[in-house]
Amino acid sequence: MGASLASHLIFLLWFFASTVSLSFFKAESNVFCNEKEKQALLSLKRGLTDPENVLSSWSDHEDCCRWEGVHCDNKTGQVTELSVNSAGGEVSSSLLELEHLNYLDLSHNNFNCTRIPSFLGSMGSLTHLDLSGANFCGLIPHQLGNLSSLRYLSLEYNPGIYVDNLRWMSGLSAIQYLILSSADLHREDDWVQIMSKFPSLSELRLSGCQLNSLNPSLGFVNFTSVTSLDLSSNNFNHEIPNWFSNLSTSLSALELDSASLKGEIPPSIFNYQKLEYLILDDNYQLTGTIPESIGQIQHLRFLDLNDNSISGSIPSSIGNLSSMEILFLHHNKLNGTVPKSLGLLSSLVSLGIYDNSLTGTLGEEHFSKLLHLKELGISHNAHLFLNVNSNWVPPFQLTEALMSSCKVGPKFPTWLQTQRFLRVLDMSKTEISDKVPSWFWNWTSNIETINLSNNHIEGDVSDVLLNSSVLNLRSNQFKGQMPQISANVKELNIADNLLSGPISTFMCQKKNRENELEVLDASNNHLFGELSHCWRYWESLKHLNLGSNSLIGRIPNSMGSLANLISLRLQNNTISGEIPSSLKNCLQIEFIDMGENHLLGTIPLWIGEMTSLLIFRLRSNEFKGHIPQQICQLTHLRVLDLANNSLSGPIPKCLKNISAMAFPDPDIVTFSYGKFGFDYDFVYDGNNLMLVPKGHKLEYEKNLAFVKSIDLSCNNLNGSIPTEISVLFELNFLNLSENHLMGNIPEKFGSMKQLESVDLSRNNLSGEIPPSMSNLTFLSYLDLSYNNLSGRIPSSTQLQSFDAARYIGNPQLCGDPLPKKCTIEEESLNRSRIGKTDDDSEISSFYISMAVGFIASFWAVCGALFFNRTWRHTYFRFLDGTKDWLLEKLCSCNLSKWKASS
Amino acid sequence: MAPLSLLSVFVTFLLSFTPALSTNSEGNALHALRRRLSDPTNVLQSWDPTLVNPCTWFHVTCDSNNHVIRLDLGNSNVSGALGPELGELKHLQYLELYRNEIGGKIPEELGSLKNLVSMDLYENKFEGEIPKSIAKLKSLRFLRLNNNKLAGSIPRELTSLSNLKVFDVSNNNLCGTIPVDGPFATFPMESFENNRLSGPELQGLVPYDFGC
Repeated sequence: MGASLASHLIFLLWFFASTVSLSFFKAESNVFCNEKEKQALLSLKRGLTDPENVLSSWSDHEDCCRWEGVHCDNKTGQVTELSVNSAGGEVSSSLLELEHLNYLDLSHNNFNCTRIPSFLGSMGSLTHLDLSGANFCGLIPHQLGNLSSLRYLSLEYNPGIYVDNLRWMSGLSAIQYLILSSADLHREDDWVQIMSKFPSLSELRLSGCQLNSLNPSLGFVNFTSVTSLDLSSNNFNHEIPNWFSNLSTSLSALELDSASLKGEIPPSIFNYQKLEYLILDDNYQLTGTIPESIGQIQHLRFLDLNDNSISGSIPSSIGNLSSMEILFLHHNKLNGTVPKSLGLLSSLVSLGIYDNSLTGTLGEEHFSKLLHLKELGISHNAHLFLNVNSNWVPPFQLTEALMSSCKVGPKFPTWLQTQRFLRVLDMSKTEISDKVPSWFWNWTSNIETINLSNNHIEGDVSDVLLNSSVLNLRSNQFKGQMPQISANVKELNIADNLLSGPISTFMCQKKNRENELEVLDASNNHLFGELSHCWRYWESLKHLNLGSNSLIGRIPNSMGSLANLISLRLQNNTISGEIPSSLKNCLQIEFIDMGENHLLGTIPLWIGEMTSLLIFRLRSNEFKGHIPQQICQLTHLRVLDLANNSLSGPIPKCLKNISAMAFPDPDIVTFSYGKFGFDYDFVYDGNNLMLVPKGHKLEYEKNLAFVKSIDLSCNNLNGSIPTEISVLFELNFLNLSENHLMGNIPEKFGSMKQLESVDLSRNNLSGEIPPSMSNLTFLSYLDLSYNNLSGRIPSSTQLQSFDAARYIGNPQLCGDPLPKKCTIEEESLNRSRIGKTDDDSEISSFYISMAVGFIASFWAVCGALFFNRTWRHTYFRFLDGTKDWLLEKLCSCNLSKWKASS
Repeated sequence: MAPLSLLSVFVTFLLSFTPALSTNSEGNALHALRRRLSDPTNVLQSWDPTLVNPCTWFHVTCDSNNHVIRLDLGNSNVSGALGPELGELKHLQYLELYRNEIGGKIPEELGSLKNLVSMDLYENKFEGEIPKSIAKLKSLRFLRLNNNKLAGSIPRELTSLSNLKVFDVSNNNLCGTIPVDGPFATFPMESFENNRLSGPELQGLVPYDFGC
């Protein structure tokens, strides 16, 4: 940010200077250019390509001093300055004929990744050479070091250029501006010493030069004439060296952002009193505090300390910095209260203090003189309280107000009404418990992005017309029917509210194609009725979530017109019938959740064509037939949940082809997007999913990105567990319980080392528990109960840590943690040190104490029941309750419905 | 009747708030642990403190009240040290940190994990003494501290752990004598080998920490 700003400034200055001088010359010119130089320029033109016709004025008939970009000495007529931009091709050596050229600008051309011509090093009169952004590649020619008069050299934005060393550069004895950003300089270790020997160097820009050391061992570096130093976007990976304490006292810009700097910021950095730009952001391991002395840097305009690990409080002396325009302290570890002197920063345009641990109150005084403030970011300071009077009229007109996850409520802030140019309003999770004021919805019509989610805001939205591009009203208490939306709305998230009424009224409101709605999330409301037949009016939809409502009827064929659909969520309704084949048009789909409905028929074979599918959840429906082999074509699939249906037949052997479950992710998958910084780009974060990973339901939000899960429990599957399944090395959760599976647990089961939860209970599995299961060190839930497994339970810290209940119902299974001891034959199996302590005495004493305990408690309970009527009644009521609880536990798969609201 | 209903309101109030507060503190405790550990294979990448509770974090298991009951990080290449925050996991039953590179002292605060059934810190680089506070873990059944660099004597207080079934401190640098009371009567000699231990204690004849 800092780098681009400063370079823009330079560019503007240059542009201003050159245009003024050129136009000035053109008005006054009375000499002609000489023929030799004219021919040299025409020869240059012949080598160039000119797609934008910038050289159209370069013709044989005219005085070359009048050509675009050419400047001659107004006494001698010799060409002294030359600028060619927006062209390309090849630079002809005819340039050498321009013996008096001192200014050469070949920036912003396309020289097709050719090398910088080495003959430029022979143009000894050059004082200014600009080759930036010209698509040069390769080694920077050492000959450039011969340009001893050169005061300005820019080679920036040629990402393909590099140096083998920088020793040749010592010839640039007059250099004042040296701009090499994005050239690869990493091969020169002594760059600090070489660059610090230029006697007149005023500006040094080495941003993104792949430098990896600031040579911290040097005690002193003679950068005493440098007023602007940009070393951003390098990979230093060490502390800011001591020599930064001895830079020029006239230093006005220091840029060290994104440089992988570590350790404490030396307080001496804050002693340069001429600083205007102090840019240190995005060094995540940079610690330290902001010293009180910062108040002495009177000319400071830009202070970017964001995205570091700075702690301590904001010093009150910051109020002295009356030139401050940008104050970015966000994403640090700042604590304490915000000083009231902040309100004195009368030039401040952008204030970012979000994502810290600031506390206390922000009152009217904190903003008293902030007349120019446009961007206010105070989000994510959980204990910061924005507390102003209800009649406050702020001195500013904001364009962005980011106030998420701090305290703004309980009253709805009325001062917002004074803001007429707001573009972004993020007021999510701000503890507002209030009715929406009557002015609010009209006021929002010009705001592009609104986030009011996670509050307790009330109001009937039936008659509201929404016009913002992005609207997140999730988790509030809005009631009435669905609001109406204009064609501008791209995202409407109104999930978790109290809306009612038929969904079709909303879906059929726009009988034209002029809408851009991409996200509609109205899940967790009380919407009812059929899914409507108006889907062809919503072709831009990408994410649709109507889950947990009271929708009925079939999935209409017209939903197949949603060709852009990425997620389709209809879970937890009463939708019936088959999945229509028209849905196979939705080829982009990644996320299907139709769980907890009354869908029936077979799983469609065309599902294999949905090759982008990541999540496929049909849990708790009435699907019959086999699991189609086509499912194995879904190589990106991460969650396959077909539990609690009536599926029969075998588990497909080809499941091994689902490579997302077999190999680590090359990139992290995200199902949620959303930023809260000034680059606010809210997309959609409603892609959560209910899973049953370890015996009970869990709602996965962000962590869904890491889950690999197969749940086929509670069906009528038969055959054996395919041995091929053992190659799903990345699988976290596997539930095959309550089927009719037979045969052995695959021998290499233990090679699925990421498994945290395995439920194979209530099948007809036989044979021994494979010893490889001892390798599952992450296993935290295992249920093998009610099968026909036999032999000794293998020994491992994990396998013996589970309750005996996880192994019961296998009469021939023995060893820890089951009370049943193994016989000699069984004993010979893999017995290791873990679990070695069960000896005869312990087991027999266990039985003895069990017997004693049984007799004693039998008489204690039955005796009491026998003699006491009230006790008897209470006891049997308790038994009834226990039975219900037990039934619920055993038939967990049949609990087809759960309402998040209930 | 009135005081009773008041009491029940109070109890309901307590019940409705306690779980939320404690799950948060459990998440914070685990996140503090994450910050202490170096995690080259990203096994802790799902430990996101912005989630409402840690129950969807990998290697963390909760009960149905969203209390953390298991931490399974055996053989996961983590290094660093443990901190006092672990003591906040009041409902923890299984602490499985075996086969890693974790060093430093075993925090005394582990003594407040009242529900702990299994403490497996074996095959790490733990140093210092075995904290006496472990004797407060009355439900403890598995205590495996073998293959570390632990020094000092075996706290005699551990003899009060009547549920202790598996105990292993072999391959450390422990000294003194081996208790013989309580569950220690049943532990095999291999559980103590490769230390500087002087043999079973001889009450009244030889000092307990003989040779330390």
